[in-house]
Amino acid sequence: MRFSWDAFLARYGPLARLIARPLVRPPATAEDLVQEALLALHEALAREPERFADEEHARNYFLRALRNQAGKTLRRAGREQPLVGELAAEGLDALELRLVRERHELVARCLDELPAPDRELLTRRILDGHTLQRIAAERGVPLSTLHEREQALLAQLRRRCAPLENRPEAAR
Amino acid sequence: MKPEPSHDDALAPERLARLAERAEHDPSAAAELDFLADLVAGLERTRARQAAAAPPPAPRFLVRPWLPAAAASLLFLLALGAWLLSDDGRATQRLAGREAPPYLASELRGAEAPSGFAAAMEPYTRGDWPAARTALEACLAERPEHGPTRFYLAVACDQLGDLARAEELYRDATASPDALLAGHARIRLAQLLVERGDLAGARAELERLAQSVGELAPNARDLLQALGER
Repeated sequence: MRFSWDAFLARYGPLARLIARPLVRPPATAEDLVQEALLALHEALAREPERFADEEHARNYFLRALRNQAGKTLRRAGREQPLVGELAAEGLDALELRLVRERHELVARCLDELPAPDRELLTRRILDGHTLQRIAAERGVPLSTLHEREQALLAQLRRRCAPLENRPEAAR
Repeated sequence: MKPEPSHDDALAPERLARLAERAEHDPSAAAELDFLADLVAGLERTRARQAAAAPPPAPRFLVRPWLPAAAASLLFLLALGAWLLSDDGRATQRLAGREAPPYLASELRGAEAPSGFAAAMEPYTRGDWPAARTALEACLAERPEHGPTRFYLAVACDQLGDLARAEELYRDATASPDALLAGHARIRLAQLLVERGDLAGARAELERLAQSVGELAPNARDLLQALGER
């Protein structure tokens, strides 16, 4: 399998950090977990390349390693230098990275086109981890209204992002 | 009052973890996971863009008409004084600062790492430079070809003020097959040469790195510019 570390991390890194945030135990950080999981994938790829027929297998392994790492005590906290540069030197694939960045740019453009309150709703819900209850209370709107709005926004974005996915299963 | 119905919070981080688990055997969950991965990255990009475009904060006090002229005069006098009294400043500051860099966990686990390398990085992390140096010298004797050992030993010697030994080790580390490590070693070698007064040597090292395609080339160009100010 051709594998671009930069592209892989650009695509799944932000989501992995989001998943790691509530799982991590101080003094380790979410970034520590992500780096450890990335390292586990790196080692697995070197050890058993035949297991990773495509990027999906790598993604599944990476996110499983992330969850497993959360249950362990990390030896060390406070990593400051990203591992990605080191790994990238081994398997850099500029085209893959460019495609992922272009995909993110298109998603960002879809988000830019949303009304500001809708964009803020998704940002607070996904990046900041705010609950619907909290946002509904702040905006003075019923929780169910906000929930329906969120579902509609996600459905709208799913429709708009579907053509960006080039894997066959996206067509389902 | 009628209570609000509870909603399935599919965006909660713990739900995302479960979705990742399901994605291993459920294609629709995998597609949703990929969608969310792109959405998170897109939101981060949008937020970064908005932060960059945010207008500067409004002034918190009223600007008196005479204040800009007075401030400009004061700044001019200060700049004149600095120019007359000092011939080196910015470049030295930017080129001489050599904090000890943190190490990478992957370096501890590499099959080629000496047996005592992980233990040696403990005093290194604490800033116990004599102990770090002793331990890393032993590692180097065991595995002379291990690039990270050479690099962090150079850092320890550098922190202890043994610049001659540090220079020798940094020079060796610039030949490491690990381009990133070699680049870091070359930058620190250039900084050390500046401290030793060898500006031509520092410039030569930085020019070599600046002309490369490595990811530290922009850093080298930046430092070269700072060196040019001297």
